[in-house]
Amino acid sequence: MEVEKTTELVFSILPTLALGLPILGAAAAAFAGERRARLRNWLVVASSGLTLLVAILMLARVFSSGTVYFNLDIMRIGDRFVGNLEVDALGAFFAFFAAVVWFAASLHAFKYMDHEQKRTRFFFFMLLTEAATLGVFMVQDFFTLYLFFEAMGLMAYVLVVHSETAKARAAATKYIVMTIIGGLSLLAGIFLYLGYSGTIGFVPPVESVWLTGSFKVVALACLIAGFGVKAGMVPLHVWLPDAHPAAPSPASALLSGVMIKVGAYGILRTVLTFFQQPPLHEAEGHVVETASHAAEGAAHGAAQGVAHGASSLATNVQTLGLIIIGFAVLTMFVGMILALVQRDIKRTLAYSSVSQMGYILFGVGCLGFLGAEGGMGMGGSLYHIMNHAFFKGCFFLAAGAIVFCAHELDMFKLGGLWRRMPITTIFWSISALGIMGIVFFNGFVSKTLLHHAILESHVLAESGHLASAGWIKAAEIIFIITSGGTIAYITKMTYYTFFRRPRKEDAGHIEHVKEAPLWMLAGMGILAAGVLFNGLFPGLLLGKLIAPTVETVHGLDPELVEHMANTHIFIWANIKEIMVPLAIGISIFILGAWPDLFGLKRRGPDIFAMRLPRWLGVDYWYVRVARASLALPFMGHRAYEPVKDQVVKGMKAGAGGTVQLVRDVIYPSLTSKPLGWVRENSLQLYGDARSRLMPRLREYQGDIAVGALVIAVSLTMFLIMKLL
Amino acid sequence: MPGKSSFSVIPLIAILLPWISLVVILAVPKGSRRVRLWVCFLGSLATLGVVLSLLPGILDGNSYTIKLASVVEGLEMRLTVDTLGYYFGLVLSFLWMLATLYSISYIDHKENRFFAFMAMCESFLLGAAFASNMFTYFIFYELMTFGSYPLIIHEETAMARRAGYKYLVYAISAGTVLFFAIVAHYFWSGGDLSFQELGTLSLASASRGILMTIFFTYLAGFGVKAAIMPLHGWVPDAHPAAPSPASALLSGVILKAGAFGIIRVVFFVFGIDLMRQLSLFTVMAVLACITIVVASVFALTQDNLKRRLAYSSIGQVSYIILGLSMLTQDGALGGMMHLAHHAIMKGCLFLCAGVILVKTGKKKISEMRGIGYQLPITMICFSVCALAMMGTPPSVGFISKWLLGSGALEAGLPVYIVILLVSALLSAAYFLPIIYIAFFRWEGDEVEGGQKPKLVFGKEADHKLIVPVVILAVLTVVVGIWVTVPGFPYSLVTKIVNVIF
Repeated sequence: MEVEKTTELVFSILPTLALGLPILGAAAAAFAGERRARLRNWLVVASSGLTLLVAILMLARVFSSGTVYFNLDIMRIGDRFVGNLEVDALGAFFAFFAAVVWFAASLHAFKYMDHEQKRTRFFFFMLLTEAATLGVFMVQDFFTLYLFFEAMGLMAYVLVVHSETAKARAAATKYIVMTIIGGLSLLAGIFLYLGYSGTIGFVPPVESVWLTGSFKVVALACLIAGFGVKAGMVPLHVWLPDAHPAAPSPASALLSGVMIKVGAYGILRTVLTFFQQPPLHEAEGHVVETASHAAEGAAHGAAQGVAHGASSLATNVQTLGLIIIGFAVLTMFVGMILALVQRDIKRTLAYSSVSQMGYILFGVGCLGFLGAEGGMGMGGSLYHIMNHAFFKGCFFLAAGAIVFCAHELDMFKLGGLWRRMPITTIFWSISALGIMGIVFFNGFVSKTLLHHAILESHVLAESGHLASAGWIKAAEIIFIITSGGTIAYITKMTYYTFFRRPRKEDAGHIEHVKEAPLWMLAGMGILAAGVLFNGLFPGLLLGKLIAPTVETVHGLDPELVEHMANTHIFIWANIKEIMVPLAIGISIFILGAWPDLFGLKRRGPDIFAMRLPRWLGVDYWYVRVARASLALPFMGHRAYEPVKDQVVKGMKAGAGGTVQLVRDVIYPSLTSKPLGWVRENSLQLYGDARSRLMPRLREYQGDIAVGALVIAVSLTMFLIMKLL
Repeated sequence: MPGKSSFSVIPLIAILLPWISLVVILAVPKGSRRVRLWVCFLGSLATLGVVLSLLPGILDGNSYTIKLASVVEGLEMRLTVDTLGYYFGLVLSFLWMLATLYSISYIDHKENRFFAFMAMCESFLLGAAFASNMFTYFIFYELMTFGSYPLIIHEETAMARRAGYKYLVYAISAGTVLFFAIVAHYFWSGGDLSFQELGTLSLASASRGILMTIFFTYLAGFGVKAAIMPLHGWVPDAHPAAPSPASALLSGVILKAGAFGIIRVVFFVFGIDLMRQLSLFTVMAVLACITIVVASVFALTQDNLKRRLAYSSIGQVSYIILGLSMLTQDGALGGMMHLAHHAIMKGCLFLCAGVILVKTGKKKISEMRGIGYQLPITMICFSVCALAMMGTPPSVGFISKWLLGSGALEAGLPVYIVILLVSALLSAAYFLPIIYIAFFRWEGDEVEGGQKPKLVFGKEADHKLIVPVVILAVLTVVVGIWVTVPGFPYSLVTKIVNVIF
């Protein structure tokens, strides 16, 4: 049931190298160990650097010659479930930016890890996580994807728990619980997908299978929830704001920069899987080939699918898109609100990541809603994924530099750092301008694309007189408000950390802060350069990287992809659009920070220190449910013990009672009369029996022996039971 | 390509080889400990070698048979190495070899008795694996029951005695029930107790009620060893009481002897068609599902490591039953492969528990803080197998879970997938804390800035303890990646499944 691909397969060793180099690096780093710490750090940098090189080569190769694969079975069960390394444009794109962030993080970690313990363990697992993450991007089926996805999730646990403080432990426990539940949900989704499409590949061989399978909604929910946990989608985000700050900064950069994108990647793949339509003739071939139960369902599906045509498929994907837009809007808004009220820099950044994932999912949702015309949504989403990887990576690395140099992450206790750490301030500011979406910085480009996508969706809904038009309008408004909120919390963080005059009690401490070491600056610099490049040359990136990636998706209208690639970014119409969020953002900022800005005494509520009641958060309820369900087994077991005792007691009483019954009632009643008669005539009876039975006895010797054995065994058992 | 069945003495040799150890121990009970015990190990190694020598022929589809004795006309003791029997024989002789090696270092008193009964048990189990009919299977199965009793009570503590006693009660009652099943089977099948690939019973041979009675009597009889839930009582007592190599074998092989019997009954006595006609699979499936979930929940509440592992075994053996009850290709494949997979994983886990006990004297999980620093290799192997038990890829556990899930889809019953996932979640809940406590906690970590222990590799325990653990942990991953290598479970089990379906 191999599906013909539009792009040809080209053999290449590159995917294996991308997978193998980090693993080799990890082994070498572990071997070098703490005794040769410098060598170990160099090895880490070298292997992630080489991996970046391979990722770039792979990207070039994929764009020049189609899907690259390596013919080695990563996983294989028989002939039906075979997992290969296979990289298409989308995968190569993700692998590329992941490798960039990893390289930057390993440069940063070179110096940063000096003030942490157990460095070798950290580097070992950091590189293994890189291998697993790249692996997720380099496969073309859910089966192998699950392998790498799980490996990545489990190995990142070590990065989260690294500092082993009580806080980190609690965060890591929450992380692992969510990861495992998410992984199981994903597996359930994959199983259902397998059951109703008959394949584990990303492209279903029979389109209409999706339309008939009664479990398709469940399958979809499971897949999206499974990936959504990783992506930090509200309401599955609860692990993220705890885990990202708890990890050492390079790891937070990776978690926020890359690993949550793996979730977004999965959701994107899921949407594309539903969305891509394979040619019909292959569907027939598939039905003939397979005789399994699933394929029978597929045969019905194919017959109906032809009748229904593409329209019902479109409706399904449209609904899916709308649901994703809903979650995306929720995610971006909730993340923004929570980011606004934090004190801790890394926690703010973590909530910001939640919020930004909302943007990315927003694009994916638009892709689903627009269907064949969704080039803009996917383009915006991909662009924002790359942007977010760069600026959020840079933010976390800068936060690492701050904690390394100033030993403080509470933004209200910092201030005036721009004098002490000027280069860090520059890099931070570049990222800040990027995430705020200021013209000539990268966020501007992707937010513009996303905004275009939502406008197109709105036009589509209006023109089709769909009920969803109003909802989409609402989504657009929330999109704009969230952009405003983003500007507010980023300005707040930048202001308090870098530009505000430090409070008197902290001034002495801040006096002694020095600029971050070169290694850290190098890591930040790479990512800041990425932010600038993405912001200044959108045409180049859209034309050369994003559009070719989007084009490979089967079934997208190529004209609209072309249109996306040629979008004019720096025109007044777009620049005008950011004025509203800017106004909102600055108003919120001034509303919250006016006492500090103007040196006045605070009156009224402090919106930057707002504390919402705990029961408003989903986290509170999750923890309660988790605690209760953990207590349940113990309660059950405690309740079971007395029941078991009663049963055993009852059995003993029963056995004793039987014995008594035989001894006191049955045996005496037998011995009283009939046996008296037997005793009197016993001799005659014995003679009779002997003459009759003996011949038979010889004949059935074997059987009698066996019977005796049974009786013996039963008696033994009986005795034992009596003794019990 | 149907294989041919030929006469061969190799099955008999395989069964008799373990007795060499017995003879040596009887001949020189006071001789050099080294020589005696290493000869025992060589005996089990030679047995494995002999079993392995049959592999090429088995992969070609041949079978080997030898008649031992004839009790009455038509009822004979016969050994036949077919693919299924060979598969079980290979698993058990491999695990036995490793457990014997481990025991050389582990068993410190009355080693003569332990090794003698271990060898005897291996011989009986191989006989059961190679049995060609139910009668032969029953004989060897019962012998094995009695042979394994001294292994369980080896420590001779009050707890061990009580556990052994309970084991005997359960096993003997089961034997009685089983005997009645066999008598009924013998009677209604017209004296044909042999294992046939498509089953020997049919609706023509007896009424529905009788066939169902036979089936349930068998299920109850074998269910005690296979620890199906209401009959599992002996397992959580026997495992912690027995010395670790014996618990590894109990969990890895002896529990499987029950499951193996059920496989024989389902596929080789009743056959797929009859199973479908009688709709017997639902009862099996319900029992298996209950066992899987309830045993996992009970495992969660245990603080004694081996007791937790024992409950986990109860749940995992029911994976096999669940796989069979699906009556689909992938389900049977997954279930039967889990027989070997679970033997590898759980064998390793129990051996790890043994290393912990020997080196630190700790039995309770709550006491094991920081143990990963003290015994890094052991705990890494433990972690690998624990993750595999959760079904994390790439590992044998994932392969079983995947195939069982795929089989559930084939059967059109995705509800089994929910059971599998709940079980995976619960096993995560009872295995991950162990890893967490071992590696991320340490004594005195409540105090801020406490001194972390140093990780020291090597020299953690005797090589004879570590080597089997490492071999099993490596196999957990290797067999999970290169699934299709000839000689690995997949190659053998597909053969069986292709024949019976």
